[in-house]
Amino acid sequence: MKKATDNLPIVENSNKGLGLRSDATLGPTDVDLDANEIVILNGHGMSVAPAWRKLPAFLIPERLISNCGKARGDNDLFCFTMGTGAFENGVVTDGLYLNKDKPHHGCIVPSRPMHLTEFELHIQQTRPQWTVDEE
Amino acid sequence: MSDYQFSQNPDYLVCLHGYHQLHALFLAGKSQSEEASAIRDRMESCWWNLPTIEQDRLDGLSEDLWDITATHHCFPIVNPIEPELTELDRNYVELSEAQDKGEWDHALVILRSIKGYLKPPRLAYWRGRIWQDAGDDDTAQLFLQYAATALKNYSLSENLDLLDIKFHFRSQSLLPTGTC
Repeated sequence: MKKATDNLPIVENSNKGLGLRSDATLGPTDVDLDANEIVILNGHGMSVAPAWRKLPAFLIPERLISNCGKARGDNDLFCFTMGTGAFENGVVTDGLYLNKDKPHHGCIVPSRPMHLTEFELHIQQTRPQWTVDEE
Repeated sequence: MSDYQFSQNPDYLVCLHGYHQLHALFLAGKSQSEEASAIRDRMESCWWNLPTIEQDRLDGLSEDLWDITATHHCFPIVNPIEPELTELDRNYVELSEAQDKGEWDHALVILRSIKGYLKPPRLAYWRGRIWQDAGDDDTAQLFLQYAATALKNYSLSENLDLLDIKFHFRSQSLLPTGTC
């Protein structure tokens, strides 16, 4: 994700920020919505991985190539981590749930039906909990 | 030899070609350009549709391509000590069996684990042949071309273990005659 001057992730509804892509007219989306903009609980949400080395090579900043030979990503992005628990299905915060769909991939999803705006707010509220992890 | 070939599904091919393009841009010093960024975005939209085995293969490819970049040069070759030789022999047997069975992904993983013991032309040649056997000539050529180029840095008389590669490339006209 992009990093702000306070070393926390930038809140942005893109694939490079702490947020969700929800406008299908702009490209791929992270969530599916019903007619009332309620997030459909189908496992989709903000993509996460268990560790930065488990990210696809094109998402790992190339400046880390000496530590991780596959790195081919954008150098303006940073690898952030949140929490210390196992990468397993479970509650992340009140309102958020980790849905692990592959060994090296999961999505932060709403833990109950909620409006897109509320989901975005829950995601944004995790901002202080993210730290850069590139070791 | 197995006739198992790597996937041709569109999402896989987008990501595969994406890594080829990122490699080329890296060599050209343009890996942080808008063009590279657009390639990454295209790859991401397809990446999560891939099965884990294909994701692992492509991530492995990205790592292997790093071994053949001009800026990286050659990593130091380790001379194995006695206990390692036994382990190394086991790896060669396993590698050979994997190739015979057409377990290309497994073969590439084994090669990655012993790359420190192999001269760069040998390593790149081996990788190239595996990709070729798996039906991906474009990726194979990246490694074979590098092997042919790297081979020119080795004198024939001091590197008899590379002779077979040299003769293979000559027969394929990848090396000019007279190159030693």
